Amino acid sequence: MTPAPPGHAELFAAHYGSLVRLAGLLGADDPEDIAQEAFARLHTRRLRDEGAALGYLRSIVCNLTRNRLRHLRITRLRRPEPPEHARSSEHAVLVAEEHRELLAALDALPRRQREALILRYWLDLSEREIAEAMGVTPGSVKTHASRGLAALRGKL
Amino acid sequence: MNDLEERLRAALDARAQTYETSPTAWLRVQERRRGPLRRWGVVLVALPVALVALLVPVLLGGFQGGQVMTGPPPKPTPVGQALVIDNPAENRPMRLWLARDHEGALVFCRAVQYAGGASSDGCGSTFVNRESEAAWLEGSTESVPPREKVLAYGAARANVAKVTAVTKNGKRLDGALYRPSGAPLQIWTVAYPSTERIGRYEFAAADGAVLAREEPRAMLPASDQGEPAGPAVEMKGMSVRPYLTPDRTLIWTRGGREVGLNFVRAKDLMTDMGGRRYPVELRVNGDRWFGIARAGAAKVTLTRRGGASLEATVRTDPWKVGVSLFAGELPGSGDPYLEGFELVGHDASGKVLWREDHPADKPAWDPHPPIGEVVTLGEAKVWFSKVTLADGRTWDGLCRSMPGKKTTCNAFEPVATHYARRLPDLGTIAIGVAGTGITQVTAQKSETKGTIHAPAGAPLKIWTVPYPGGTETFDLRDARGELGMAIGGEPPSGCSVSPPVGRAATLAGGVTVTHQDGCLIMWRDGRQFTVEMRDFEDATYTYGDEIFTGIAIKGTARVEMVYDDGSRLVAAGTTPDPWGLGLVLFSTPAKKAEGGALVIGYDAAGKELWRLD
Repeated sequence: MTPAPPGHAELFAAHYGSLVRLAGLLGADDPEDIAQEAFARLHTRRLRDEGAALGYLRSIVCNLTRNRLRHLRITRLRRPEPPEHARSSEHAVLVAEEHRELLAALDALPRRQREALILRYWLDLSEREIAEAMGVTPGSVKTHASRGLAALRGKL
Repeated sequence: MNDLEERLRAALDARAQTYETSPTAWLRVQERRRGPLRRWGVVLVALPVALVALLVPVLLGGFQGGQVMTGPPPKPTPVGQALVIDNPAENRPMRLWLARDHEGALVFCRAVQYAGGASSDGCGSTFVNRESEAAWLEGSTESVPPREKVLAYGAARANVAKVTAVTKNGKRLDGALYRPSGAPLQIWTVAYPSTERIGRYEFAAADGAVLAREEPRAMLPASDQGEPAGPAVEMKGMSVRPYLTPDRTLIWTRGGREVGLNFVRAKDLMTDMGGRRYPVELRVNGDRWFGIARAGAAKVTLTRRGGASLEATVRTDPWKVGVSLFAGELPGSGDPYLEGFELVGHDASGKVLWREDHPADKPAWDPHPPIGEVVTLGEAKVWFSKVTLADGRTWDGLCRSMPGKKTTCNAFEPVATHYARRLPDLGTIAIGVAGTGITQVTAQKSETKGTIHAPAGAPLKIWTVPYPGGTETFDLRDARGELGMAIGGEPPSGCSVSPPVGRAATLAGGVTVTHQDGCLIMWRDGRQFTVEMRDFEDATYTYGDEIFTGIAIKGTARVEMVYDDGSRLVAAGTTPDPWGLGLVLFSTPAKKAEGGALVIGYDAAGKELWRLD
């Protein structure tokens, strides 16, 4: 029998909330479902250290959200129906008016640019960490982020 | 950082704060971890401490990114008795109870034993935000992939008399309400097939008024989380194909429903949490066993304890994952994990590649823990235990187990020193419980001397007499040879000594009714009246203890008792039984000490339907 690897519970306590929010910011219709699945999958992995586990969790959240959005798009194509964005109207009210325009512009960015900006400006990740989460090279992170910022600047 | 970057950061922070987290999230994560459960036995058993330590402070303070707990708070203290019920999702007992955390807040706790041998327990949300609610959902056994049945559960206040799950297509599924002794809230459960999609739970008062509703969130199927990445392979009525999820997952389906997952990305493939590789991942779904094995296995056998060896169909995966796929039939009933079994993989030449021994799965906790020594009678084992009734009270019970049969417990009312009770026969042995003053037992007709067992540490004795059947009277005497009690007549059926457990209907006058295994039991103030449904015809009733109560055929709207002086007692309303028996229940306070000799049932139009003279 294998002893329990240390730190899963602590990781959950420390990072579950932020991973739910990351999934939400990336556009997941059910951010908790994504974050819970990420933690469930963590148990298929051996934990080297907290940093490695956290990077793995972020990458799962990114991938699951990406897949989920693709699935929703396919579903909508087959059966066109609202909602365009799964967040509730209450959510819209809660976000201050001052941020609406910027967030709408962010939502309209291509997926990779949006991901790069969220990981950079909400989670304050390094280029290497962003690259790991997105499954791209650090160089392309710089490209996506700068193009995203330029696009936002242009729209505002 | 320029202005746009600062604005972007502020906007993302504002949006991020709008996403809330569920207080039962950790439990939901546990429920998803249904991969190689066998591998996680130690982990899950080790979880309770971590779980309790984790959830309580998190719930009080809310989840915050970067926040780390510095020390575990005390484990919540149980309040009232734990409810032990069958969990249909795992075919194992499950415990539900209420507790108070270190700050005195009520929390809902549950312990689950999984079919693969692992178990987990923990306490979930505090009720601080539930003060104005009549009832709510606390969790369920829903999982990905789903088990055949799901058990949803939660808490309800005293004024809730009925819980119903309403499916998305409008079907209504009744739940059960329990009142554990000493608990400040009721506990409710609803069991339903996992093919049903629950739209909402409704909680109603005795008059039918809906007091609360709650909409559950369904889990995403695994196949929703990625696109198919290869053709399906059909084996033994099941289909398996890879999906491009982040981890690359093989998803097994049967009849269109997901029944198993295997994570097959190279670094995860058949690797346990310690990074060690294992040779096989087994799943069981009803009468099928299936899974993946290390590449090279050409033959996979499963040998049940004391049973025949079963051989699976084996295929090499066509997707170059590097595994052998296997699927076989599991004839007969029983649970291989409970019985124990051995899995063996062979190569094409018949050489054994690996063996996995699965010892019989021992319960993580005993739903009927023995009080005192366990007595062995041939193949059977009997012991005293406590039995929780549907109204939360606890009676003494005598439990029995036989190889291959489900453990049953017969509850009985208190037994005095020179008193005894007979319980359902144990095969060809008459058996019962006796007070501590009883030292000898004899069958009158056959003049057979029986045995008095006095299990060490038990509160009472057990008497047994070999008995060929038929009518017999058993004399139970004390050490001086004085008769304590003679018990005659037909042996009691399981009904007459069954405890009132399960879903209860509440009637006027404090009468509660349960139905289980063909026994309908009405009880009030600790006294019970039992009806065997196979003997039931038009109606039956009991009178006394200031109550007139009974059951009658469907359509009966009013029941009248005619006293000897011609006056009448009317039970004006009837309640449909909640178990789908097609009967009605009635109850009304009695007026006189003695009941009348005539009882008549009428339909809603006043037409007489039946009468009991």
